[in-house]
Amino acid sequence: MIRLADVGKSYQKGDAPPVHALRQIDLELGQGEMAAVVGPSGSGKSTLMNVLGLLDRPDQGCYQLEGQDVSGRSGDELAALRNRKIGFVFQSFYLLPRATAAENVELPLLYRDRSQMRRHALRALEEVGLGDRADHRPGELSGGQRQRVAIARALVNDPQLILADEPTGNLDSAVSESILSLFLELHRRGRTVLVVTHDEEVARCAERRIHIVDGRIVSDQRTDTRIPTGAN
Amino acid sequence: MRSIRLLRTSLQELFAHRLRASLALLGNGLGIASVLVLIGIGEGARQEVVRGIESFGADLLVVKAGKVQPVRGRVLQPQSQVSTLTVDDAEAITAECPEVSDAVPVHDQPAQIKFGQIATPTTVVGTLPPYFQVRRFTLVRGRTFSAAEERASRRVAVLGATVSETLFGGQDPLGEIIRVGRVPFEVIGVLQEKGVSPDGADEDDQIVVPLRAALRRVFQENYVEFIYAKAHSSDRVEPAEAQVRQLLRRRHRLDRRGRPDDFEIQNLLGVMETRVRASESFTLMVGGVASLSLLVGGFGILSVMLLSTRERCSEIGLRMAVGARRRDILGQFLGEALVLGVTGGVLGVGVGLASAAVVGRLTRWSTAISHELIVAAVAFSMAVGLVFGVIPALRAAGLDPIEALRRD
Ligand SMILES: Nc1ncnc2c1ncn2[C@@H]1O[C@H](COP(=O)(O)OP(=O)(O)OP(=O)(O)O)[C@@H](O)[C@H]1O
Ligand SMILES: [Mg+2]
Repeated sequence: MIRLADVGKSYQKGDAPPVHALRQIDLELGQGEMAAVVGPSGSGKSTLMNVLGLLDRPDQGCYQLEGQDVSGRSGDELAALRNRKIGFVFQSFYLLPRATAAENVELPLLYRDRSQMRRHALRALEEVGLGDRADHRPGELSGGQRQRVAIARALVNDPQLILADEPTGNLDSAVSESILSLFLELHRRGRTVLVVTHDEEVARCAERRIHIVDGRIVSDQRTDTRIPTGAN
Repeated sequence: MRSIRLLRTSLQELFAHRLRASLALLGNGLGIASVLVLIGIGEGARQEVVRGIESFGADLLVVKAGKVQPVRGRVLQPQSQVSTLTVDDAEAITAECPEVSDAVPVHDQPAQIKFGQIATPTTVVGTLPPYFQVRRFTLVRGRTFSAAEERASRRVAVLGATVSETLFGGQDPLGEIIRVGRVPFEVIGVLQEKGVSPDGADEDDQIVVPLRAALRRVFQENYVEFIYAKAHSSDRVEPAEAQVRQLLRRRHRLDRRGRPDDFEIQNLLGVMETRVRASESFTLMVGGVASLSLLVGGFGILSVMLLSTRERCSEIGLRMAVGARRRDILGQFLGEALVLGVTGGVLGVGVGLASAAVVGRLTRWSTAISHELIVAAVAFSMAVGLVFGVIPALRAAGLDPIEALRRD
């Protein structure tokens, strides 16, 4: 479902030598796969996620999402693709502090024509185990619950691809584990999940582990997963 | 529906900073309020002038006896008693000027009047019956005098509202005898209250009596002071004036000797038009000054929106990540600015109406705030919101999603 070919991205600041955040990335990710992206700080993991998530454009190479080349798309087209095909989960949850959990989850629905927004939002909240917290504001939720709301928001448009950039980075280990099992659950239900993580535990759970150093994929291994995979 | 929901989450964030949002609303609202009050005062003044003209009669000419006469280079003041206008002149005007529907001679003079022990100074107006119709007086009680009564020098009086109130309070004055100087008059009617005339005279502070009786018994005169000549309509006033002038010059034999007019014709419309124009330019001027305060309100919205978009970078980035297009972000922040504008406008209208009422009570200025003005004020402050919201909204929409997310 995702195919990157020879993708590169570099940043140039003034006269300083350019920073190559990504170099010659070739990557394929199949439908329903779950992969962990690991690597040292500054190695380009977030940049990769941003490129995959259509938030950033590579300087070089080709990106196919579900067989379609997305390189030449306009900003509005990319926004629509993000809205429909991609769900983001960030390290800092980015919830609207004054909106309720349900309102936060509805947010992606507001940018497409969709009826029964509240029903979809509630279903997504149930999927992350927060069906009873729909009317709570982020301030009234624990860190783990907030991240679950953010995950529900990523799920609400039923996207093919879920991108999580260090989703447990702000959470303690016990909570991290429950978030992790939530991702595994999503994966088991057939979603394509890509997780950036420093967390060995998380990385071990994924069936595939992509190691990035200095903008390059240095290893891409399929591991034995403890949890059996397969659609539903 | 979708956009309302969108705006709701958006406004929640905007109004999270209550003080700041209130200050923006206050700035905008006070601007609107001050414009409303000032324009209301100006418009009130204009309407008062117009009302004055209408109650006096825009179709009325006032022919006054005597005029400043230049004689051999010197300017003589009009004599205190000018005996050039007569009752016959008035009759001739009615008879011979087709543009004039009615001409009424009037002689008025201040006098002391008495009822029992109560005395009050007022103006005694001696005139003919058509006076009431020409000057648009109506009766609240009793009747006016007839032409026959006038010819017979009957001593009857119709009281102005103020006089009636002063002398009789709540009592029925009909049939009572009042004294003008020493001369007794029977009260036969009371006039409807009319208010202040355009030249500032209280038209309710007068009594109206038959001209002949007034001239012989009270004033001991045989000339009249002025003649009201009523044109057929307010836009036939000028030809009427020309006919009256021509007739009077002929009757006074001025043409043959090449003399200037020994009378003066005032056309209220002309006098009042300049006043209306003055009050209109006043309105325009204060309105213009007050509009500056709308600008101040606009800058309030601008700064609040700039602050808001700056602080809400991560919100903007997140919205973009979940699918907001640039125009969605633009619309969102324009919508917020619009809401600030409209809310400020509505608040301002409220404050404006309230302060106009207070000003009206404290100063006796009449203020007139029309529905159109209110709608215009709200529309204008909506426009202020939009115009001053454009820059912040464009800024927000122009953000790069990754940078926006990373910023705070
Ligand atoms: N906007 C930018 N301007 C300049 N350099 C950038 C920019 N964004 C990223 N970089 C550089 O690109 C490289 C990769 O950054 P990236 O954020 O992808 O790393 P990361 O693997 O996510 O690191 P971490 O684990 O700390 O989050 C880094 O060297 C970073 O300094
Ligand atoms: Mg990162």
